[in-house]
Amino acid sequence: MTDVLQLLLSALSLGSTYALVALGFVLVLNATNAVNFAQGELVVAGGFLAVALSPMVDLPGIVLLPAVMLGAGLIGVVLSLVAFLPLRRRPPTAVFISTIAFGIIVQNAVLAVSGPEPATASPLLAAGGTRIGDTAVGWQSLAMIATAAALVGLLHLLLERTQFGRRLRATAQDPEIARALGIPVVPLILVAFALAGALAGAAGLLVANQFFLSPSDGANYMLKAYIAVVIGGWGRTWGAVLGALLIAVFESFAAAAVGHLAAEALLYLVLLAVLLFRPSGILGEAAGRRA
Amino acid sequence: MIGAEATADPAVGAAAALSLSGVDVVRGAGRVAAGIDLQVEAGTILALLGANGAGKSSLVQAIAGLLPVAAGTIAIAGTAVQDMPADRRARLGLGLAPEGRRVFPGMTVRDNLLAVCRAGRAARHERVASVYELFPQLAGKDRTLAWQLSGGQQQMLAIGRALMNLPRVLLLDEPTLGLAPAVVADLLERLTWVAGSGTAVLIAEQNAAVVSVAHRAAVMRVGRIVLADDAARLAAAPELIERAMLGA
Repeated sequence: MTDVLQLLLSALSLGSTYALVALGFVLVLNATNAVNFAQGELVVAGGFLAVALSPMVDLPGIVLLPAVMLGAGLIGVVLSLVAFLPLRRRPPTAVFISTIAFGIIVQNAVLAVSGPEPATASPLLAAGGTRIGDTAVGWQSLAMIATAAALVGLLHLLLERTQFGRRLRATAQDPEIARALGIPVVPLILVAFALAGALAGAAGLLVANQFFLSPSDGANYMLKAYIAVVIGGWGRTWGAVLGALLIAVFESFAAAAVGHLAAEALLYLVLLAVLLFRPSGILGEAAGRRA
Repeated sequence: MIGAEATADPAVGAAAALSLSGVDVVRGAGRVAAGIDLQVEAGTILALLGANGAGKSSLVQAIAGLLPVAAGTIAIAGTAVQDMPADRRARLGLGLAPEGRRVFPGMTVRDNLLAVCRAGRAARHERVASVYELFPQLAGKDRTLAWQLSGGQQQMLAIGRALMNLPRVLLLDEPTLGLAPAVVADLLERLTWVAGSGTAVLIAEQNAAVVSVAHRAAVMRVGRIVLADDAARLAAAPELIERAMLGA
């Protein structure tokens, strides 16, 4: 029983960061129809920004969150200006390639600045933890879950309660008509990429304490986000969160049972099975479009 | 109330709200509209009639910027728009209630209306209230998701959404399709109110009943305008419309 709780806690903390990455991915997908393969590298960029800032301030990691989100959000804006806007009238594959290329540039920039060694950042609130019954509960895990939940909640308010959110949802549901009714596209694109970057950066800060972060980790986060979006239903915002939590739970429990390597293989088998038997995801596809 | 935005420029007032001259529309390999000349004056309704496949919908889409114009000019209040993207045309005063309604299905009625509105926050909510005055049925559905509405209510929402930026020109593509006759009569009456407040209204329809509320009527057949006249005159001679639509 203790083991199960322990596993669940680590799965949720990991899953909540996957969720942030996947949400950013879906935001861009819905606003622009673009598949942003640089999203994973933005996690790494945010994580290393946190690593770089950590020694400078003698404060808990949570105070770095706004700076890290801002920095990664700016990288997201540059991404859209360089790798998306000039290519948005080209076939989607052009944007696949340009975002992958941008991601490689980010990865190498991180490598050049920080070196290849894995690094860690300050904990969000404090190191250590407490015990609930027989279960050891790390403060960092709890803080990760709480921070991610707060960010998801803020994003929910942004999407549901603001004019930006309405425009983004309208564009996601019928891009042609949204445009014909005068919804301006370019500002929407810039903000969506900025938010995607900020969410990825936040995820980077969250994972950079409990796990060693190395400059080549981007592909892993990208793949997890992609799987989360496929499982949750392509283009479904809350499906992406659910998908992220599901794969983290699956990963953690499978790893505990059969080891990390086999767990990873099993995850891809599950992905294949979902694509074969339920190609529109567990919740169904949002708008019947797919890259 | 909902109506055309007042124009400060007197020169703009001189041009028709919507004016097409020599417009050709090509869709795939086929020319679906050729040499179309049309004018819709502020405060009037033009009924653009035609059977299925006559080219009305393609023409409406070309006016809105959803299909490219192969030749000719389209002007909104004197400004040539045929080379502008759809969103700029909307900002110049075009409102579209598209074929098949195309409401944002997963959004509430209020959010459908608010999403497209470019006015400030207070004005946005006032305009929602104006749309609810025009279509009281929508008022009770404020928080209902658009896909859950009836066909008639969805049509009202599509029209209300097109009115949220107080357009000079309202384009309606087959607004009566699939609606019960009583609902159609009610809808058409409300469109006369919209025109009465100064908006130029173009209704593309197969249903000749719209002639009853129109000021002018034009009939399209295989991509050309084959008949255009005062609506009152054509309403008195429905056999003329029928013959023009069917080419008999």
